[in-house]
Amino acid sequence: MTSETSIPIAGEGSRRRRFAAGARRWALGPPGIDRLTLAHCVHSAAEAFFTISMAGSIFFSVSPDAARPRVLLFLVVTLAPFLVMAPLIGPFVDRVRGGLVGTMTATFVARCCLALLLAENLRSLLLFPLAFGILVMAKTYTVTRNALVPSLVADEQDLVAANARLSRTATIVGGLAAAIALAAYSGTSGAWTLRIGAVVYAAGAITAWRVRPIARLLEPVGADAFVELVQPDVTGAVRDMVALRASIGFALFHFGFSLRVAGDPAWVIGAVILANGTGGFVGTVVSPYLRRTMSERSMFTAALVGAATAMLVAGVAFGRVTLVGAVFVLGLAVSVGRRALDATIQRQAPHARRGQVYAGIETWLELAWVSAACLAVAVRVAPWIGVLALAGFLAVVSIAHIRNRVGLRLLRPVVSAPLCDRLLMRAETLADHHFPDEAVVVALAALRECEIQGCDTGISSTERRVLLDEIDSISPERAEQVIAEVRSHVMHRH
Amino acid sequence: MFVVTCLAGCNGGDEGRPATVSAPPVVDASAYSAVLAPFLPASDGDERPVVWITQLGAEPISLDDQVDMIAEVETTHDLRFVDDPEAAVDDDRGELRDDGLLLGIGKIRDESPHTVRVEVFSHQQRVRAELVTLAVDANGWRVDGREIVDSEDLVVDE
Repeated sequence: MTSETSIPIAGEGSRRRRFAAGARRWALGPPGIDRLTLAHCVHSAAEAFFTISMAGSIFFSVSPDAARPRVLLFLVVTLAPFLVMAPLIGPFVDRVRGGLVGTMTATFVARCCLALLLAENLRSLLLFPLAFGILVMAKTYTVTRNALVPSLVADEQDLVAANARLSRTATIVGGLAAAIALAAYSGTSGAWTLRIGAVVYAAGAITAWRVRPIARLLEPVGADAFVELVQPDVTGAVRDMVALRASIGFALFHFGFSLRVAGDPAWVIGAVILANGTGGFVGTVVSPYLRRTMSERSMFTAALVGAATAMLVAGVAFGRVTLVGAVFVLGLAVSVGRRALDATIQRQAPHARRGQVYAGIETWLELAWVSAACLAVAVRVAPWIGVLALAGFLAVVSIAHIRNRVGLRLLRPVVSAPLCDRLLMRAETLADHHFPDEAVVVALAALRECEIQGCDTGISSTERRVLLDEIDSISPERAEQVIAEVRSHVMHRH
Repeated sequence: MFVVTCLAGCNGGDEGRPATVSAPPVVDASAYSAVLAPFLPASDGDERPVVWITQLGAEPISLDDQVDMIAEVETTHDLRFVDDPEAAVDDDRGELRDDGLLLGIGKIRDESPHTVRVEVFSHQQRVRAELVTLAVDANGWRVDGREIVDSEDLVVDE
């Protein structure tokens, strides 16, 4: 064998290794986040087995109206941990070293045990507490996973990309797992599908335990982070995301019941769940392109208006195809909204890119999901009525969002107007958006600018000092009075 | 008020009454399972026939009783409860889903005679209704009599 024949083999092996490394990096991300991505993929796969196994549960044999009170009870019970968790999750993340990884691992262990118990009780009333136990653990996992991401990326600019990769890869794996789970269910039973799912949960516990933060120690959230978080863009993005998450929680439980009442077979409900997942996946794929062409607020506008329109069409022309299409669009909208929220926090609240903050936001999002699900179960209406109600809700949220955007645009400077006029307009806009303290400060700045231009104002420096001393507790009505007084002086100078 | 009236009646007329009065039997899942038994189609072992159950009248069978009834015949029949009989009908074919049988069951009377109305719909026999009388003994509930009556609740759209 000549030396020339050995070189191509070495080169080919090197190319294969580079290709494999590149594929691994595309799928799992750089070192650090790759282990969390792997754990999330296992979670997604296990949840697919759990979901498919429910097709063999007693839920599809009892009458929906008889099951409704029991489901509502356990949804309310599911609410309780999140109500408790919401104010405590930040300090917990801040103070307990290793708490996040431990919690995430514990959710896998708990779900493994619950799945094994559920496999023996799929056809009994214990289905309800066990299935909702798995739901609570899954929601807790989501909160801790979101809190871990900032400590696993070396560069904070990678947060949006990291979250998108997590979602994209896990959705692909979840889809493949669902196909395997369906085959297992068809060949065996719901109980055996669940037992396989329990094994996957156990594997998830191992992968979760191997996650280790690589970045700096968790830094406490300072005052600058809180200031950034209350900016109109950030609060608006969180509010819009809460509405989207509530919508999907309502949709899944409403259709789960109303379609059963109407007599639709289980596969239709499966199609609705699949449409939501597919929409979410498509959202992670298109979001990077959307970010290149539009702002985060425009992404939210598109998501809200698109979801409202799809629901309206499905409500007016109700059928299985339009329903599945509308849920696909809703899943897409939720996914796009999530990427837009991540991008908003990354850009507008750089000091708030901490695990504690993400954990807090995610807890409120899960609370919205569960609360909306409770409403869906409590109200017994036909599927098309629920769709129209959802369309109405999303339309109202869209209008509020657009109105807020117009208001925020007014905050942008109108360069041609004099500075004191622009400051006064800004003060009025801040007051309209319920920021009385900022409005008064800006109004006083407008007054100062007016004095520099030579106008004679009637507010003494003592009065201004008193106003600034009271600024933390100033009421909206007092702010309006101050602004009106400043306006009279500014207008008078003309 | 009912309890008070009952006690006053007992106080006034204790002479000649038995020392103990047996409590009325509890109408539970076992009673409804006894009602169902004569109407269930034959099971050939591999395929479990689908039986749709809807409740006649306003008072539904409780979730616990439904689960017990399903478990009672789990190995031989696939019981499925629906709130509305139309949910058991395939809109495209106009027939019962999964080639099943639809049974409408009323509320079993708590007092003797323990009668209950049962209406049966299958695409072959259309609708027939029976008034079933139950009796209870040490072995549990059993069917004591069946009487053909006019159908009232399950209506077939021709």
